[in-house]
Amino acid sequence: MNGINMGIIGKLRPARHGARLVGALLLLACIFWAGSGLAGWRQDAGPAGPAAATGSLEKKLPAEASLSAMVLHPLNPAGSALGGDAGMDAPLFDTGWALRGLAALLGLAAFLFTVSRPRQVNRINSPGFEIITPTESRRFIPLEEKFQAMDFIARMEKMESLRLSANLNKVSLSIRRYGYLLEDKNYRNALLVNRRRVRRTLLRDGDVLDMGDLTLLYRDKRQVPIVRHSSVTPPEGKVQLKFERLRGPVRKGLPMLVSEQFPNRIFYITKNKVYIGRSESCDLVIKAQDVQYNHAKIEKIGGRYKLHDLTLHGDTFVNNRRMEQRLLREGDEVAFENHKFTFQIVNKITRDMPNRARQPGQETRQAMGDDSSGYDGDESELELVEADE
Amino acid sequence: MTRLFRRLFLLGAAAGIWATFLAETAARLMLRLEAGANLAPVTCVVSGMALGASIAPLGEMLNRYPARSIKAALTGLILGGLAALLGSLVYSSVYQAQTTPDITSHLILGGVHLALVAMAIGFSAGFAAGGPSQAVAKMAAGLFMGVVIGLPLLGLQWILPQGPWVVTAGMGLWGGALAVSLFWWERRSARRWLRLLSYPGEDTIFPLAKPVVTLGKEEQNDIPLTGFKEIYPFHCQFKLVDGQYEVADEDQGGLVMVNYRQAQAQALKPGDLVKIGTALLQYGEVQR
Repeated sequence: MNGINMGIIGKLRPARHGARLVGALLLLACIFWAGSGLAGWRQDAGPAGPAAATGSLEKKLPAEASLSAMVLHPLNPAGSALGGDAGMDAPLFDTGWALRGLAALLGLAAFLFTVSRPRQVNRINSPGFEIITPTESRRFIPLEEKFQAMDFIARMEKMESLRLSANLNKVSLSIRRYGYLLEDKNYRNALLVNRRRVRRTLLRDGDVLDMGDLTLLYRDKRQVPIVRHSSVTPPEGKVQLKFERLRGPVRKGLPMLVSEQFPNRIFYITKNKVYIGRSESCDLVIKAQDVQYNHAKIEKIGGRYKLHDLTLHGDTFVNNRRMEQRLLREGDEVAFENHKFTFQIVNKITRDMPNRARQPGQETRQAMGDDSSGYDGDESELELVEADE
Repeated sequence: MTRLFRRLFLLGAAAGIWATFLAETAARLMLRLEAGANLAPVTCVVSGMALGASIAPLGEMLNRYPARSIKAALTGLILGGLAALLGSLVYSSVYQAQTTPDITSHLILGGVHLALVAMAIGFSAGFAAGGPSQAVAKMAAGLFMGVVIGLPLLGLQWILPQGPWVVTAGMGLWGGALAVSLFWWERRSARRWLRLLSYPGEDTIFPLAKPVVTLGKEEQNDIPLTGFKEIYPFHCQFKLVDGQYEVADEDQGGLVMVNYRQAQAQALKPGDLVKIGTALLQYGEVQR
């Protein structure tokens, strides 16, 4: 138990709860006071009321008359649910009844309000970690600016029983423009993000971190939802893809970007440095409003291909994850804003299609398993590909 | 107390308050029509119906399952009324014999009445959520909780000065406590469960109690995930094989990721993360 921990918990459980409790008790006291004042009952006068009112009418069974009111509710032992004013002489509806009706109406309003509200569990707006280890109770730890590394977790309360990974102070946590960057400064650390070993990552809402026995869920309400450029929401407006066709034959090992929106438009990466963006000077031109002029570049480094994000806000995603730079692998899903591409490498040409010299385009298509029509197989030097909306 | 329990308590208390109010209004009308009439069956049935129709569907309403809520409300309406009628008949038949009530018979008979109503509410809630097996489990919970919460309140009622406000407040407390305890019991009694970690939804725990548990977007599923994207109406199943739950998606073809990897007939371990569409769930079981 130390200062940091107390500070966190103090923020989690605001002092409002005490005030609420006092308020509820006061309200309850008021209800009782008002009830006692309005109905004018006393403990001794209670059972006699209905019996006296109805006893005159049915003298033979006074006990049953009092019983009838008594059984109004089992929580009402002495049968004065109607106060002392039951019977023919009493007014049908009095002040106490109206007040109870008001209380019931208020309850109904609260009921409808609660049920109609949009459902959201976590109203804490600051980003933070939620402990979701099955053996631990769930709690939320808001992130503070003074946290430079993940070792604050180890210094928290009730963490003694858990085995945490060592060198958590080497896992640095820094604030970036679009969220927190988690970086492993010690290569031997076993930092698992979404159950995969990662060295540096921008934390996104819904990420799961494993450090030894402890499992943390990163929450950030300020961020965009988990699946941002989902296939459910296709890019809006008129979109065009323009690029220069490949020079020379398609060879094995040649990387390509396959657009999700236009699956038969394949962009082969033949240069060492390829720019992607809205500008006409780019190699792959995506004519869409939300794409930047120079959005990203793909660079060939040591036989592998590295994607660099060139935007201010980091609107380049690889496998639904915001990236600054990353080495691309076969099958990676690359997205520039909402425009998705799949990074693939031509690998089945020679094996599947012996006559590749004549129809390289078709071979590539079959190798990908893409049987969409509309590809003319023309090997012109420059082909302007327009989108058919 | 978590936010879910707080909301459940408030809603249950509201249900108790308006049930008492309706019962009182019915009693007043009855007395207006016929002085000295036997009020017990009518008022008890009215309050029982109101309690059943409003407390039983609380859990489904908070999770936004309209079809299930309606089912629970209708079942609660009928069963709550029947249970309250039965309770009141027992109560009045015993008190017919003895003229002055004493605390022992009051506690016993009141306890029986409350337990019957609580059983009816539990049965309706469980029946709408998970079929007969869960209905019986929740009915047992209602029996236990109705007595445990009801007896202290009945004793308190005996000590306190009697009046309509005391009855109203007592029923409010009882309703709120019952609503909370039914769900608390459900969590306690679940041996294996899937806990929803994503935002939409309350702090939801889906118990895995049957040999085959279905999951999907439709409300007929045992685990309905409405409000999430990229989930089929009938997405996948969890099957109990050798005491462990396995993901079985070969029939429906829904994509299930366990620990962020595609799963086929994979047994779940405690702490495993199950990602289905945009929903993230965590598997848990009682540690022994």
